[in-house]
Amino acid sequence: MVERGPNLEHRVDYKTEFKAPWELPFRGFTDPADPRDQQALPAIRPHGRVGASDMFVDDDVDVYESPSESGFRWIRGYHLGGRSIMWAGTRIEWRRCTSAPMPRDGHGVPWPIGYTELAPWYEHAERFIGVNGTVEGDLPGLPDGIYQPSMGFNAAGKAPRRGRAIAHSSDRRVVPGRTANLTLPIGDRGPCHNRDQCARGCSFGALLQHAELTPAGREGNGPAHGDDRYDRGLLEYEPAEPASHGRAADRRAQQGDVGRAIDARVRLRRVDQLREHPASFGVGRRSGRSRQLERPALGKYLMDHRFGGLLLSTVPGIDDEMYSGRKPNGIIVPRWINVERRETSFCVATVPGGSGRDAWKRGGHGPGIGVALKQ
Amino acid sequence: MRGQPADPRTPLVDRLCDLVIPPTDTPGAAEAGAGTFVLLAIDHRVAGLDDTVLSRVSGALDAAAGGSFPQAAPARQATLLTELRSTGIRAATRGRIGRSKRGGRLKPAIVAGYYTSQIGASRELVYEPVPDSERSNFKLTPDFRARSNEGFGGEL
Repeated sequence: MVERGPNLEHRVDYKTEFKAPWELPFRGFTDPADPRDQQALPAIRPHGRVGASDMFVDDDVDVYESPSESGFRWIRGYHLGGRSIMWAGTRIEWRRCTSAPMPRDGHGVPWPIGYTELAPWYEHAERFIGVNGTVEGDLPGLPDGIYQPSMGFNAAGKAPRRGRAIAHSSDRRVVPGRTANLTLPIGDRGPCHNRDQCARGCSFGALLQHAELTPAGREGNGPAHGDDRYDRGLLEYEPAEPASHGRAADRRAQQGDVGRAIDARVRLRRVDQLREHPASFGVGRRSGRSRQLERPALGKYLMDHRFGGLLLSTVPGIDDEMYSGRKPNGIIVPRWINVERRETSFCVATVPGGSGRDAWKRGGHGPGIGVALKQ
Repeated sequence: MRGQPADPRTPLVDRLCDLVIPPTDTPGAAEAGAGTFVLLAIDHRVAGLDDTVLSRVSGALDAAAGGSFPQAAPARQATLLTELRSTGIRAATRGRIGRSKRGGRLKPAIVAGYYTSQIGASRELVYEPVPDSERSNFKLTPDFRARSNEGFGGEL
């Protein structure tokens, strides 16, 4: 959650939040000259990225390396909250099989903790951030959580349920999407207004962002964040702990400064003090002349997401139904094979999807011109 | 803008805009400024458009008209443009990147320029920047006007 860069204030710092398309340089379409439009943005849902390029890191400026064959894309945002500001809230609970001590799909490294240890924290987080969804009976491939009312289906979203593959199957399901967009208010955070422009920032607070990131921030208990800084240790959150000071380095003051405490409830601990958690974090040590700290656990126990696969289909016959708004949510086809064990030669994941009406763009790609096209 | 020489491409682009989306009870694409967007897209190579597109289209239309397309009667222009689309204007309007399914085509740019303009988005269609938080499905009625917000962003 903590990322370099400034804090973004609701109603102040979201540059394009309420911009109309005619107020945007390219009307919200991809700008060929903006490298960010060619980098991370194409991986974001088309509607979610409109006019939001300033929220994303330019990969040509802040370069990262990854094996070329991996196809790994590191989507980043340099502001407090990082890409949680632009994530659009998709929140599919990882299954026992994906967070197991030994990944069954053969990717990644074994985690030091499994689903059993994570499950209570899922519930803690779900109550805190607010997740909409439906309880489906704890499907093997999609555990249930603590949900606000679902955003539901639109007419096309319901259609797959009637199809042969789903209706005649005992293990295939289509369920409404689960996202961290409020459908009921939490404190001063209002419900989602179905704008589907989450990546621009949400002053309604409907998507967990900025000051909502820590309990202290929500409760207004003082300096919740040390924004525009980078950390020199590991952050450990312990709600019951008394205040203690840690070491933080102000990005503006450069490395070496001792910063103030980041948060009264967050302890910033030196890596070489983590010997008491060797199983979780490994043991840091100083090495070489650079005296840089080795952090054997950092950057290791991460979970990536498959992204970018796309399958489009037309659902015929829905000519007289429409929906209001543009919910930032869709459908989920929970994993129905390869759940408890590897059954196929391929790795299959829970499939998120969506549905919507083909809007005015179809006029540009279909036949006809003139009054008939306009109508 | 005063003092700035007019873009010589504007008359043809505006004419094409109004042939594709003409004025009715709401302004057409030219008045809405779709042509400005089309030229912007061409100049910045948005969606595979490039500066050869207009010359190709212009040449093809002149050839089809047997003379100057801009001087043909409006009904004749519409017919020529329609026939050109149905008989190969798509190929004629493809640019270097035209092998892509949607690359380098003028009509999507005109349509996008219109429905992302203030006139097209908020007068021809309904611009709804903050929909109600209550999302629901409903039956369409004859007086329903589509929301322009459906479709913003992505590719042309």
